[in-house]
Amino acid sequence: MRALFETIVQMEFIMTAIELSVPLVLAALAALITNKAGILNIGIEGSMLMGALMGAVVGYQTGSVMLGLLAAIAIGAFLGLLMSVFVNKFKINHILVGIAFNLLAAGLAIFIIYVRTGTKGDHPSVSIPTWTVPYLSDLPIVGPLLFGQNLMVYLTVVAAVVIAVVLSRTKLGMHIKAVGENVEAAESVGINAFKIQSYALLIGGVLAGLGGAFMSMAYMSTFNTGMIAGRGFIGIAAESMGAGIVGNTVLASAVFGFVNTFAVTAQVTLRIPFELLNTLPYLVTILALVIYAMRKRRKQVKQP
Amino acid sequence: METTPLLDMQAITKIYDNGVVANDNASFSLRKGEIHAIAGENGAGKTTLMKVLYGLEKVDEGRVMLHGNEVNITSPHKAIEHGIGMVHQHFMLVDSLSVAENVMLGAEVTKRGFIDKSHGIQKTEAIAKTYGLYINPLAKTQTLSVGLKQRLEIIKVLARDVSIVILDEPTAVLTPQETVELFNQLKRLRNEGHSIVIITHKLKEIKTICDRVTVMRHGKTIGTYDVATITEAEISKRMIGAEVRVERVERSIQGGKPILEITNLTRHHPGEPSLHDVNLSIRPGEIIGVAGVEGNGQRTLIDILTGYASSYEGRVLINGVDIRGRSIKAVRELAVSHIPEDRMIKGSNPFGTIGENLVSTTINKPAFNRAKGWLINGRKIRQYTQRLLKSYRIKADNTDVPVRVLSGGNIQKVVCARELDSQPSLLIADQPSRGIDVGSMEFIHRQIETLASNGSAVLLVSADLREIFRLADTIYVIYNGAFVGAFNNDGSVREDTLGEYMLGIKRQAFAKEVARRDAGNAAL
Repeated sequence: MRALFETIVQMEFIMTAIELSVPLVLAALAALITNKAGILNIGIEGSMLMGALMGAVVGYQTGSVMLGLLAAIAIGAFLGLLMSVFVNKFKINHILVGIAFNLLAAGLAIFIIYVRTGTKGDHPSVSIPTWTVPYLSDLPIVGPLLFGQNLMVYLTVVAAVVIAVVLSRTKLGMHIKAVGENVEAAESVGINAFKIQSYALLIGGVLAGLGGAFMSMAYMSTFNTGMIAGRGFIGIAAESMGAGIVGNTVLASAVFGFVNTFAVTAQVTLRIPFELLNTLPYLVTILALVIYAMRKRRKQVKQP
Repeated sequence: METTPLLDMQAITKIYDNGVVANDNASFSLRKGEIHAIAGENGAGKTTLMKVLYGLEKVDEGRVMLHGNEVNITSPHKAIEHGIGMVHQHFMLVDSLSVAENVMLGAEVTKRGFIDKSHGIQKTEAIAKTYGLYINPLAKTQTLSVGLKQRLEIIKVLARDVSIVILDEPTAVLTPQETVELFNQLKRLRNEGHSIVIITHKLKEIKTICDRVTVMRHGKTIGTYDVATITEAEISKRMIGAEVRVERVERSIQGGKPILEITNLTRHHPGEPSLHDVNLSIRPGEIIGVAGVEGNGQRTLIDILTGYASSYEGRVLINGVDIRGRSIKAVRELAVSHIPEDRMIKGSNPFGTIGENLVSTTINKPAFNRAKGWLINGRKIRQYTQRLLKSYRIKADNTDVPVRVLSGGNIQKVVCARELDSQPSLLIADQPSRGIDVGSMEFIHRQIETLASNGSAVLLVSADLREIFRLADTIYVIYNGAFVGAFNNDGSVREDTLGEYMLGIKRQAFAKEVARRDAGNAAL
């Protein structure tokens, strides 16, 4: 028990927890903005995988972190727009499109890696640097916490704030909410639903691509076909727990990130089989959704 | 004297993809500053004609002249640019947004990239003041009453600086009091120089508020008349080609044990209207009408009686059998029929054929089966459904037509045929004639009457008072989940009296009234 506690309060643990929250927060934000526009984007998982792959491949090939990140963003955006075309123009159910995208991404990733390396699992990558503020990062505790994180951590915080502001204060956000809630009403006042859903899916795709890139370019500096490991889906679960509110969604994602980190670090300290520990984030997801559903029901009972 | 009309739709023809001719050489012209009704039965093409004008439907032939110039309106956006706005029958509102946000939706004013919220609030307040359409701009739309939602829709249209306002059946969802209020507002709009088009099939409204009326039938425009010089009967005649009988037929209620007995029925369930201590009994041959504004517990009552809702306090006996714990099917097996409020959701499977829908509740009957129920007897079913198609005058070539291509009235006839043909001992009819044409309505009403005359008990729930007056022996008014009034439908009670009870302005000392009613019944 003591060992457990000591594990959690260690600085290293907290730093890892923050890092592991990043892809979940980005996935959840992607789910949030597309959900607001009325599309449950199951394809986030696949977009993250493609983002991770393209980031690694382009980054490694060119030796440029920047180009790698841009490639991850581009593929995410492209997949988002493609999804919008399938959903709006070909009128295919968005869940089916999402599933198809995920299957395609999984297959394509292996194919591309095999073509490039001759193996089916890994591809070398580059590393997004940690951004250390001189002097400030030397402060105890708050130093590394606030001023010594990976660049992607800051980017994620900025993304969350931007999404929140876009949704609450801009025309685009207003139109996204209107289209998601009542397409007919939105269209009756001249809002182009296809355009708005495309924007939302594009933004969601960019976020998912970034989330993937974090895995292959920051958390690790190599790409592995199994590295997304359901993080896209956990992001969707976090969004649902956050009830579409940006702050709550980030918080829910962070909880999952914390559990994920615990599963990773406890392997060393607790001598529990790591296969069992690895199921923890998923179990917590289910548990959280159950608690969420129960709370929601109780709330409904309270207000007749 | 005849100046160029503000709007002139000439020889409009619109044929839908499925071959239905919705508008056939229809013409319509609107003067500045008038309230103009477009009257006709359901499926007469009124809404299509206005959708053409509002850019929601593409016209096949004909042209639209505005201020004497031909215009090509291809989208609602274009229509708004030309100063034409429409208030749809189903509200086009985003419930989670505030009133002001809905008003400005699609036309938001921004300041440095961000929405200028105060502008929306000011604009809403300005319109409210100018036209007497008072509303709280900060209220969440989902909290508004139906009447206020409609007011918001009108404000929304006005915020776009339109000069022509189209309203599609605006009073369908309003109480009598709200209707009066709406009419006053429309008059005020007219006096401010707006031109208003009202799509309606309510003759009384045409007489009350409109200056002119254009009558449509089968996609054609029959003619345009000054309301002052035409009677309701004449409009009605032109709408349906023949006069309709609307007075109530006297039936004698048979004595005997009640078929339906409800005692102290109460249900509180989150997210739906509650029901408080409802008592009711219906005897053979009796039609009880429950009048009320939608959302006052009617749905809850019906859900319990039909087995949809299982948790409740109190007792429901149908033919002496307690229905507690019975499934929907098990309730139906007590010879209960149910005409649901929404024919496209609960009432029918729109994608199934007429035949499939007609036997959907009776498919398990031995007569329709072969091989001990393992196979369906297609021939028998076909004979049966063909017979229903004919006797219920469902307008379709055969029973293999999918229900969704039929008009509302014909879909409702399919539902009624299925529910009434089994000669149920209890019929629960929820808004059986909502949104259907006068001919179909009359037909369905007659079927319900016949059923009652043959000794069935009927519970009729409706927001349409004409329907209640037409059919019910006794009228109960439901408000906030409780019965607040009971009236013998003997011609002594008037619509506006019921309206006051429906809105909760008045309430009877109820037990006394029931006692009086029961005493009255005993005397029968």
